[in-house]
Amino acid sequence: MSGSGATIDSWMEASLEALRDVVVQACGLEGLELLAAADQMPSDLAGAFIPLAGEKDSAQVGLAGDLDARQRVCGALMQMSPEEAAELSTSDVVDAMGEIVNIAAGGIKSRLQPLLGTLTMGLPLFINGRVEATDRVETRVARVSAGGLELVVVIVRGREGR
Amino acid sequence: MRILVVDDSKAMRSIVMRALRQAGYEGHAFEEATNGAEALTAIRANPPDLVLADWNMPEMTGIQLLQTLRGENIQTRFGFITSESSPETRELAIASGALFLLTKPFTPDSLKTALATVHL
Repeated sequence: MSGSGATIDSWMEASLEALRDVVVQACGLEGLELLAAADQMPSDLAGAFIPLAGEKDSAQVGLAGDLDARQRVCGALMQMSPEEAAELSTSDVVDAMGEIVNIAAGGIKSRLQPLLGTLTMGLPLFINGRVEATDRVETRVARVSAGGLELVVVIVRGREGR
Repeated sequence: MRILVVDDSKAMRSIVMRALRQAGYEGHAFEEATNGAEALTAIRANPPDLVLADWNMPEMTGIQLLQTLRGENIQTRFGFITSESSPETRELAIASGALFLLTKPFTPDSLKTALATVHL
Protein backbone atom coordinates (compact mmCIF):
# COMPACT_ATOMS: atom_id res chain seq x y z
CA MET A 1 0.00 0.00 0.00
CA SER A 2 1.46 3.30 -1.01
CA GLY A 3 0.99 6.71 0.50
CA SER A 4 -0.54 8.04 -2.71
CA GLY A 5 -4.13 7.84 -1.54
CA ALA A 6 -5.00 5.40 -4.31
CA THR A 7 -4.81 1.62 -4.36
CA ILE A 8 -4.65 -0.73 -7.28
CA ASP A 9 -8.34 -1.30 -6.70
CA SER A 10 -8.90 2.45 -7.15
CA TRP A 11 -7.11 2.17 -10.48
CA MET A 12 -9.22 -0.80 -11.53
CA GLU A 13 -12.47 0.87 -10.50
CA ALA A 14 -11.59 4.06 -12.39
CA SER A 15 -10.47 2.03 -15.41
CA LEU A 16 -13.67 0.00 -15.57
CA GLU A 17 -15.80 3.14 -15.31
CA ALA A 18 -13.79 4.93 -17.99
CA LEU A 19 -13.82 1.91 -20.30
CA ARG A 20 -17.56 1.60 -19.79
CA ASP A 21 -17.94 5.18 -21.05
CA VAL A 22 -15.83 4.37 -24.10
CA VAL A 23 -17.57 1.15 -25.08
CA VAL A 24 -21.01 2.70 -24.62
CA GLN A 25 -20.45 6.21 -26.01
CA ALA A 26 -17.76 5.62 -28.63
CA CYS A 27 -18.38 2.00 -29.61
CA GLY A 28 -22.16 1.94 -29.20
CA LEU A 29 -22.07 -1.28 -27.19
CA GLU A 30 -24.64 -1.96 -24.50
CA GLY A 31 -22.39 -1.72 -21.48
CA LEU A 32 -19.46 -3.22 -19.67
CA GLU A 33 -20.03 -5.90 -17.06
CA LEU A 34 -17.48 -7.38 -14.71
CA LEU A 35 -17.35 -11.17 -15.09
CA ALA A 36 -14.46 -12.08 -12.79
CA ALA A 37 -11.48 -10.51 -11.06
CA ALA A 38 -8.03 -12.00 -10.48
CA ASP A 39 -4.48 -11.12 -9.49
CA GLN A 40 -2.80 -13.44 -11.97
CA MET A 41 -1.82 -12.30 -15.45
CA PRO A 42 -3.24 -14.39 -18.27
CA SER A 43 -0.58 -16.65 -19.77
CA ASP A 44 -1.25 -15.23 -23.22
CA LEU A 45 -2.25 -11.64 -23.76
CA ALA A 46 -2.87 -9.45 -26.79
CA GLY A 47 -3.97 -5.91 -26.25
CA ALA A 48 -3.19 -2.23 -25.91
CA PHE A 49 -1.61 -0.66 -22.83
CA ILE A 50 -1.26 2.99 -21.91
CA PRO A 51 0.94 4.46 -19.17
CA LEU A 52 -0.36 7.00 -16.69
CA ALA A 53 2.17 8.59 -14.38
CA GLY A 54 2.10 11.22 -11.68
CA GLU A 55 4.20 12.40 -8.78
CA LYS A 56 2.52 9.99 -6.38
CA ASP A 57 1.63 6.98 -8.45
CA SER A 58 1.90 5.34 -11.85
CA ALA A 59 0.38 2.41 -13.68
CA GLN A 60 -0.14 0.81 -17.05
CA VAL A 61 -3.74 0.16 -18.01
CA GLY A 62 -4.40 -2.49 -20.63
CA LEU A 63 -7.33 -3.82 -22.62
CA ALA A 64 -6.86 -7.22 -24.20
CA GLY A 65 -8.87 -9.97 -25.81
CA ASP A 66 -8.80 -12.69 -28.41
CA LEU A 67 -8.63 -11.78 -32.09
CA ASP A 68 -12.38 -11.94 -32.64
CA ALA A 69 -13.15 -9.73 -29.63
CA ARG A 70 -10.43 -7.25 -30.58
CA GLN A 71 -11.68 -6.99 -34.15
CA ARG A 72 -15.29 -6.62 -33.05
CA VAL A 73 -14.68 -3.95 -30.43
CA CYS A 74 -12.49 -2.02 -32.88
CA GLY A 75 -15.13 -2.46 -35.59
CA ALA A 76 -17.72 -1.09 -33.19
CA LEU A 77 -15.52 1.96 -32.57
CA MET A 78 -15.44 2.55 -36.31
CA GLN A 79 -19.17 1.77 -36.76
CA MET A 80 -18.46 -1.31 -38.87
CA SER A 81 -20.63 -4.39 -39.27
CA PRO A 82 -19.27 -7.63 -37.72
CA GLU A 83 -18.44 -8.80 -41.26
CA GLU A 84 -16.43 -5.64 -41.97
CA ALA A 85 -14.76 -5.86 -38.56
CA ALA A 86 -13.61 -9.41 -39.32
CA GLU A 87 -11.64 -7.99 -42.25
CA LEU A 88 -9.72 -5.46 -40.11
CA SER A 89 -5.98 -5.84 -40.50
CA THR A 90 -3.61 -6.35 -37.58
CA SER A 91 -2.33 -2.79 -37.92
CA ASP A 92 -5.88 -1.39 -37.91
CA VAL A 93 -6.69 -3.37 -34.75
CA VAL A 94 -3.47 -2.27 -33.05
CA ASP A 95 -4.26 1.34 -33.91
CA ALA A 96 -7.91 1.20 -32.81
CA MET A 97 -7.21 -0.71 -29.58
CA GLY A 98 -4.63 1.96 -28.78
CA GLU A 99 -7.24 4.65 -29.36
CA ILE A 100 -9.73 2.90 -27.08
CA VAL A 101 -7.26 2.84 -24.18
CA ASN A 102 -6.19 6.39 -25.01
CA ILE A 103 -9.77 7.65 -24.72
CA ALA A 104 -10.26 5.64 -21.54
CA ALA A 105 -7.05 7.09 -20.07
CA GLY A 106 -8.57 10.56 -20.15
CA GLY A 107 -11.48 9.31 -18.05
CA ILE A 108 -9.14 7.48 -15.68
CA LYS A 109 -7.10 10.67 -15.20
CA SER A 110 -10.13 12.73 -14.29
CA ARG A 111 -11.48 10.06 -11.94
CA LEU A 112 -8.19 9.66 -10.07
CA GLN A 113 -7.29 13.36 -9.99
CA PRO A 114 -8.85 13.92 -6.55
CA LEU A 115 -6.63 11.15 -5.14
CA LEU A 116 -3.48 11.56 -7.19
CA GLY A 117 -3.40 15.03 -8.66
CA THR A 118 -2.36 15.41 -12.27
CA LEU A 119 -1.45 12.24 -14.15
CA THR A 120 0.42 12.38 -17.44
CA MET A 121 -0.60 10.05 -20.23
CA GLY A 122 1.93 8.32 -22.42
CA LEU A 123 1.36 6.89 -25.86
CA PRO A 124 -0.37 3.50 -26.22
CA LEU A 125 1.62 0.34 -26.83
CA PHE A 126 0.34 -2.99 -28.16
CA ILE A 127 1.58 -6.15 -26.44
CA ASN A 128 1.14 -9.60 -27.91
CA GLY A 129 2.49 -12.28 -25.60
CA ARG A 130 3.08 -12.76 -21.91
CA VAL A 131 3.54 -9.89 -19.46
CA GLU A 132 6.03 -10.91 -16.77
CA ALA A 133 5.18 -8.99 -13.64
CA THR A 134 8.08 -8.59 -11.20
CA ASP A 135 7.84 -8.16 -7.44
CA ARG A 136 8.26 -4.42 -8.01
CA VAL A 137 4.76 -4.21 -9.47
CA GLU A 138 1.34 -5.38 -8.44
CA THR A 139 -1.29 -6.47 -10.92
CA ARG A 140 -5.04 -6.77 -11.19
CA VAL A 141 -6.94 -8.48 -13.95
CA ALA A 142 -10.65 -8.21 -14.65
CA ARG A 143 -12.49 -10.30 -17.19
CA VAL A 144 -15.33 -8.16 -18.57
CA SER A 145 -18.12 -8.39 -21.09
CA ALA A 146 -18.55 -5.39 -23.36
CA GLY A 147 -21.82 -5.83 -25.19
CA GLY A 148 -21.21 -9.58 -25.19
CA LEU A 149 -17.55 -9.32 -26.22
CA GLU A 150 -15.25 -10.88 -23.67
CA LEU A 151 -12.25 -8.66 -22.92
CA VAL A 152 -9.62 -8.45 -20.20
CA VAL A 153 -8.71 -5.27 -18.32
CA VAL A 154 -5.23 -5.29 -16.83
CA ILE A 155 -3.63 -2.91 -14.32
CA VAL A 156 0.13 -3.07 -13.72
CA ARG A 157 1.06 -0.63 -10.95
CA GLY A 158 4.37 0.10 -9.35
CA ARG A 159 4.49 -0.94 -5.70
CA GLU A 160 4.67 1.98 -3.28
CA GLY A 161 3.07 3.96 -6.08
CA ARG A 162 6.28 4.05 -8.14
CA MET B 1 -13.47 24.90 -46.94
CA ARG B 2 -10.46 22.73 -46.03
CA ILE B 3 -10.29 21.00 -42.65
CA LEU B 4 -7.04 19.36 -41.50
CA VAL B 5 -7.55 16.45 -39.07
CA VAL B 6 -4.41 15.72 -37.02
CA ASP B 7 -4.27 12.52 -34.99
CA ASP B 8 -1.74 9.69 -34.76
CA SER B 9 -4.59 7.16 -34.82
CA LYS B 10 -5.94 6.30 -38.26
CA ALA B 11 -9.13 5.05 -36.60
CA MET B 12 -9.66 8.36 -34.83
CA ARG B 13 -9.02 10.40 -37.99
CA SER B 14 -11.72 8.32 -39.69
CA ILE B 15 -14.08 8.82 -36.74
CA VAL B 16 -13.54 12.58 -36.74
CA MET B 17 -14.13 12.85 -40.49
CA ARG B 18 -17.24 10.69 -40.26
CA ALA B 19 -18.53 12.83 -37.39
CA LEU B 20 -17.87 15.97 -39.44
CA ARG B 21 -19.98 14.56 -42.27
CA GLN B 22 -22.72 13.56 -39.81
CA ALA B 23 -22.58 17.04 -38.28
CA GLY B 24 -23.34 18.61 -41.65
CA TYR B 25 -19.83 19.30 -42.96
CA GLU B 26 -19.95 16.68 -45.70
CA GLY B 27 -19.31 19.18 -48.48
CA HIS B 28 -15.91 20.24 -47.16
CA ALA B 29 -12.47 18.94 -48.06
CA PHE B 30 -10.81 16.86 -45.35
CA GLU B 31 -7.06 16.47 -45.13
CA GLU B 32 -5.08 14.33 -42.68
CA ALA B 33 -1.82 14.48 -40.76
CA THR B 34 -0.48 11.85 -38.39
CA ASN B 35 1.31 14.11 -35.91
CA GLY B 36 2.03 17.73 -35.13
CA ALA B 37 5.23 17.88 -37.14
CA GLU B 38 3.56 16.58 -40.28
CA ALA B 39 0.68 19.00 -39.75
CA LEU B 40 3.06 21.93 -39.28
CA THR B 41 4.71 21.24 -42.63
CA ALA B 42 1.32 21.00 -44.35
CA ILE B 43 -0.03 24.16 -42.69
CA ARG B 44 3.06 26.23 -43.49
CA ALA B 45 2.77 25.17 -47.14
CA ASN B 46 -0.96 25.85 -47.48
CA PRO B 47 -2.90 26.84 -44.36
CA PRO B 48 -6.31 25.12 -44.13
CA ASP B 49 -9.44 26.89 -42.88
CA LEU B 50 -9.58 24.82 -39.71
CA VAL B 51 -7.29 22.42 -37.84
CA LEU B 52 -8.78 19.74 -35.58
CA ALA B 53 -5.95 18.18 -33.58
CA ASP B 54 -5.37 15.56 -30.93
CA TRP B 55 -3.25 16.60 -27.93
CA ASN B 56 -0.93 13.62 -27.31
CA MET B 57 0.96 12.64 -30.44
CA PRO B 58 4.50 11.53 -31.26
CA GLU B 59 6.99 13.88 -32.96
CA MET B 60 5.08 17.04 -31.97
CA THR B 61 2.08 17.30 -29.67
CA GLY B 62 -1.05 19.23 -30.51
CA ILE B 63 -0.28 22.05 -28.10
CA GLN B 64 3.26 22.35 -29.45
CA LEU B 65 1.77 22.58 -32.93
CA LEU B 66 -0.64 25.34 -31.92
CA GLN B 67 2.03 27.33 -30.06
CA THR B 68 4.42 27.01 -32.99
CA LEU B 69 1.76 28.24 -35.42
CA ARG B 70 0.90 31.23 -33.27
CA GLY B 71 4.60 31.95 -32.75
CA GLU B 72 4.92 32.18 -36.53
CA ASN B 73 1.78 34.36 -36.67
CA ILE B 74 -0.16 31.69 -38.55
CA GLN B 75 -3.71 32.33 -37.33
CA THR B 76 -5.48 29.26 -38.75
CA ARG B 77 -8.56 28.41 -36.70
CA PHE B 78 -7.69 25.58 -34.36
CA GLY B 79 -9.66 23.18 -32.13
CA PHE B 80 -8.64 20.19 -30.04
CA ILE B 81 -10.36 16.80 -30.03
CA THR B 82 -8.63 14.92 -27.26
CA SER B 83 -9.02 12.58 -24.33
CA GLU B 84 -7.25 15.23 -22.20
CA SER B 85 -9.93 17.11 -20.31
CA SER B 86 -8.46 18.63 -17.16
CA PRO B 87 -9.19 22.31 -16.43
CA GLU B 88 -5.46 23.02 -16.74
CA THR B 89 -5.36 21.46 -20.21
CA ARG B 90 -8.42 23.41 -21.31
CA GLU B 91 -6.99 26.68 -19.95
CA LEU B 92 -3.68 26.12 -21.72
CA ALA B 93 -5.45 25.30 -24.98
CA ILE B 94 -7.59 28.43 -24.91
CA ALA B 95 -4.73 30.66 -23.71
CA SER B 96 -2.63 29.37 -26.60
CA GLY B 97 -5.28 30.30 -29.13
CA ALA B 98 -7.53 27.25 -29.52
CA LEU B 99 -11.19 27.96 -30.14
CA PHE B 100 -12.41 24.90 -28.27
CA LEU B 101 -11.37 21.64 -26.68
CA LEU B 102 -13.74 18.74 -27.31
CA THR B 103 -13.25 15.71 -25.09
CA LYS B 104 -13.27 12.15 -26.44
CA PRO B 105 -15.54 10.25 -26.55
CA PHE B 106 -17.58 12.77 -28.48
CA THR B 107 -20.68 12.65 -30.66
CA PRO B 108 -21.46 14.33 -33.99
CA ASP B 109 -23.81 16.61 -32.02
CA SER B 110 -21.11 17.71 -29.58
CA LEU B 111 -18.75 18.31 -32.51
CA LYS B 112 -21.43 20.35 -34.25
CA THR B 113 -21.93 22.40 -31.07
CA ALA B 114 -18.18 23.03 -30.78
CA LEU B 115 -17.90 24.02 -34.44
CA ALA B 116 -20.86 26.38 -34.12
CA THR B 117 -18.57 28.67 -32.13
CA VAL B 118 -16.04 28.80 -34.94
CA HIS B 119 -18.12 30.65 -37.57
CA LEU B 120 -16.84 28.66 -40.51
